[in-house]
Amino acid sequence: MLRARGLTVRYGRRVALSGVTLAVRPGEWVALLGPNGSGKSTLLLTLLGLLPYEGEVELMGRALIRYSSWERGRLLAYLPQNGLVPEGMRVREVVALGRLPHQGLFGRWSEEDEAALRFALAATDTEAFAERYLHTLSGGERQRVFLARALAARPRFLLLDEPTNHLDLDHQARLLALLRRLADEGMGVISVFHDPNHARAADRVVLLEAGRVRAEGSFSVLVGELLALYPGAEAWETPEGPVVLPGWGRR
Amino acid sequence: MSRRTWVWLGLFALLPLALLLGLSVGAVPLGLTQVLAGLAERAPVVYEIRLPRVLGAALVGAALGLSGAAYQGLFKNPLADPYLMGTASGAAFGVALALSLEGDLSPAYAHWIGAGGGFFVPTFAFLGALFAVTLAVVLAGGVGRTRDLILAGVVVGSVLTGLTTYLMLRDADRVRAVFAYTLGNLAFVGWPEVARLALYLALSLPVLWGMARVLNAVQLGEGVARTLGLPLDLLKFVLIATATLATAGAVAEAGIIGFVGLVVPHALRRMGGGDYRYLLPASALGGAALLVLADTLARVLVRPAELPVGVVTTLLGGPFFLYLLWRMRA
Repeated sequence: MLRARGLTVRYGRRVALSGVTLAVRPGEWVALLGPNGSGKSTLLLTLLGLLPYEGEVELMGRALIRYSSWERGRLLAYLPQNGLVPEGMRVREVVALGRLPHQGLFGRWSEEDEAALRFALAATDTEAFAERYLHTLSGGERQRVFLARALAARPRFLLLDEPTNHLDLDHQARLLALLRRLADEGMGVISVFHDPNHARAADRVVLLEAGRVRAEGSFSVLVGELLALYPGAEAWETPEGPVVLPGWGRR
Repeated sequence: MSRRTWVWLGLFALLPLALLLGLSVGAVPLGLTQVLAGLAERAPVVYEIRLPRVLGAALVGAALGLSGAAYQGLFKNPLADPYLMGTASGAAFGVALALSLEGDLSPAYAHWIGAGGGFFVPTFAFLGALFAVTLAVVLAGGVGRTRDLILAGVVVGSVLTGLTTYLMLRDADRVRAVFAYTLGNLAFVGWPEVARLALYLALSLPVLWGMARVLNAVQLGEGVARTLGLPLDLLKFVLIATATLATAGAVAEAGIIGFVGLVVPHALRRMGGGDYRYLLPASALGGAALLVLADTLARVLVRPAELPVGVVTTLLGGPFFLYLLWRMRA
């Protein structure tokens, strides 16, 4: 269980998160939605232990700050919103860095590392360009490589900041299916989405507004709240349930 | 064979060739057999003059290539060089200060001391370099924020350069001595200098090479590197301290030699990729070979006089760097 209670985070004087409480179980997929600047990315960074906070964060029954950085790295993996593209590194080398928490600074590359690497490449459909330089790939291909790097750690919890960025529609669908599968296999997944419809496959949606949790529940239940938060959006009913789209010209 | 293997083979072939060339070239040109015989018999020209000098050049070049690669990795900037954190201006300030403490200088003494003779000046240069980097780290509020480190390094560098200029202007002889030092010179490297340089490199090479995975992870962003388990603040501190030790040692014994630490990692990254497990040791080897060759050129270009080797590396390195930039655009 990854749990935050009464979480408050400040950037100088500005309060980015205020009294946020959230819990994610293994095998559960929670999607974070909310307008720009509502604190979604800050929440991810805090759960990863990268920002100072007030309140409590607990990972599997123990306070997050009591873990060593290596232990934390084995349990939590992170996909940032805009990954940096290193110059002159091959896809395989980048994905292999995901094994760092298991290897440490001087450990040897093991069978287990190799298996995790293969799994990550296969799951993200990146095997075909494993030997290419990352900087020669397209934005969507790079994004999948970064996801592979996060998966290679085989973490208990996966925290993703707008993972569908740069992906074409087919790979967006594949990514959502992959997150569903990972959660069903027991991984805890927390993902920030720009497009609220991507949260439909998640188990639960947490809606943030100005650093606070505004509402929590399944996507279809929260459609009204979403429309209130995004005044330019409109809801459409489909056979698969409601979708939320940007409206145009009718405001 | 992979490209990286070829690069390794090239480097391992280049360094011994450069060393042999450096041993054979000089006021008295020697053939290969004469060089080998001179080494075996410990002939003064070969064993006491040329051998320490070429070994010194190799060690200084290795230190500059190594710390240049480490800084480029840490700061994620291909334009970073070993002097980024203020080592060069700190060392120059140390030398200027040492010369001021000496009181009135005779021109001959100024020349000798400015070219790195003795123990006094290298010690001040070394301490000056350490002082500058320490000051930069303190001003940046620790090693946590990398951008602040660069800014603090630049500020410290400018202030110390200003102070150095002031100290130099008080005495014309000092201008010459400090200036000779800042241009970089290997002419006065003997066995004691080689021993000190070897010690610095023996300390810094294993530590920095051991940090290769850290630098690889940092290329993905410091946030990601931290989530990969790295205690990054501690590791950055060790990296900066070790690269500073290597650079300060090189600067103290040989003055400020530009472009080696910038161009060598850059070129080797183009040739064999940016994996620091390869790039760090390769840059050390490449820097060693390059500086031995540059120093050999410095000895023959204006014979019977000598150019400061810093002038040669700058004259060679500048156009080469432009060529790299031009190729990158093409």
